Amino acid sequence: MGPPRSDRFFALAALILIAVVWIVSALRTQADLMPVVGQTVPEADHIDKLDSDLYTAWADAAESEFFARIAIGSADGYGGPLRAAVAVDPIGTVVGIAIADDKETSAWMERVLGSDLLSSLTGKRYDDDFILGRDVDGVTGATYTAHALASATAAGSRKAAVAFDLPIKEPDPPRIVFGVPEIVLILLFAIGFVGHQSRFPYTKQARWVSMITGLIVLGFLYNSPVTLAYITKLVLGYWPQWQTNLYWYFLIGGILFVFTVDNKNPYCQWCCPFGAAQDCMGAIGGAKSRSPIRFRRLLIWMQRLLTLTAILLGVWFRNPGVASYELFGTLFELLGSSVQFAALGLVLVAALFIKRPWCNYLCPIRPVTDLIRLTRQTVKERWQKATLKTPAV
Amino acid sequence: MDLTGGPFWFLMGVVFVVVAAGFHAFARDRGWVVTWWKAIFAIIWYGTVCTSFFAWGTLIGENEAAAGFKLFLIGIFVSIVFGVALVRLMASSAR
Repeated sequence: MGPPRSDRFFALAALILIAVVWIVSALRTQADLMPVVGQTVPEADHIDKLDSDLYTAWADAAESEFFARIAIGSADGYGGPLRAAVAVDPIGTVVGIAIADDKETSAWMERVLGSDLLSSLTGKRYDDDFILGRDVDGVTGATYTAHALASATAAGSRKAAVAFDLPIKEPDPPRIVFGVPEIVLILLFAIGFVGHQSRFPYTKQARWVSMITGLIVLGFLYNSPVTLAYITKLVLGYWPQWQTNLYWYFLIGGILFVFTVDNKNPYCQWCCPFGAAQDCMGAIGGAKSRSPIRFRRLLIWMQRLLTLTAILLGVWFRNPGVASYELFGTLFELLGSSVQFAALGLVLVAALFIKRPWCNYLCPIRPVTDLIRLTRQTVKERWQKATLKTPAV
Repeated sequence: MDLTGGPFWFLMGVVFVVVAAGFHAFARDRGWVVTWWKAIFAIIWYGTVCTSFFAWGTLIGENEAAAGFKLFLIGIFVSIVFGVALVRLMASSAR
């Protein structure tokens, strides 16, 4: 028996709604960058726009002397592209930086802006290296955002230097980042694949090994669980540079691949670090599945509605991090508001008695995996129907 | 009366004896077998709960009420988790 017709109808309606909001928000966001550009060189007399990404700041009203060229540099951040207005003087030194547009979680952005990174970027030359922690100050706990700001500044300064006819050296191709998180993720997927086999006798043990590894490595060490921001990023078409974001591609690609081929969820029950934290609490408290039959459908639809609302907000503001309501960062980075810490405490205490309360009633990933499963089943049924109807030759 | 002086600690001792006697009766009613090492866990748990309150009060006295309240919440969270584990441990050997 397939899923109810209402599920298919609402899934289709949700996809159409997301598409409509996507188009409307894309048409809406044609921001005027001039005010941001002006922030980079407040001492300039006036600024002229050369093209959409390049501006000239003049030192006097007669335009006899350049003050700076300002270019918009872009780089991949945590939630999508980060664009920075970068002012460069005629000898190629960065004299001002302002954030033109970003898709970062506000807590990370505040951390970066409150650090010494901006001041350490100012004064660099366009042909310098901008490597975090070596050439410029790193920011603990906001590495993606800090890296994006440094890279956007480097890109903007080079673009401005070209406008001054300064000699430009081709930048080195990006280095492929393949480290511990990527290796661990592949291993965890492999354990999940083997553990899912019906003939494998140690499924329970394998699952616990996978869970604890996920909790320690993907959770506490690297804080890289799947979040709604990853999904919204995918919907918005923010595909990060593959060389430096292999983890993202492995995670999303691996989940989609295993779902499509095997109809099994390789992530939630096997290596989700937050799920593992709840399982550990459940093991201490002897948690049981407690799903009130009367309200079961209502709770499922509440969870789906919450997720859809969060995705729509993310798409509307074209900022994947804006509506993320997960508590992952609060647990793994100990970063969040008092409300988030209170919610985390409640979830963990509830997990002592109820099996995975977050996953079952609040997590935005579950409705997404439900949608993938539904789409797969619908396509499969249509395919089988079409194949049966085709007359044999 | 000096709250940190002898009478205060006498009162704390009385409370502890009452709590210990209450726990003993509670354990007997439930049929728990409280071995010496389980009793030590129970004392540590009681100490954690009390320390949470004491830390809060101390930090209020230091004009750090907000920090004290946060520390209290963390202590209570740890006490709840530890307490649930302790009850399960005790109940596992119930007669």
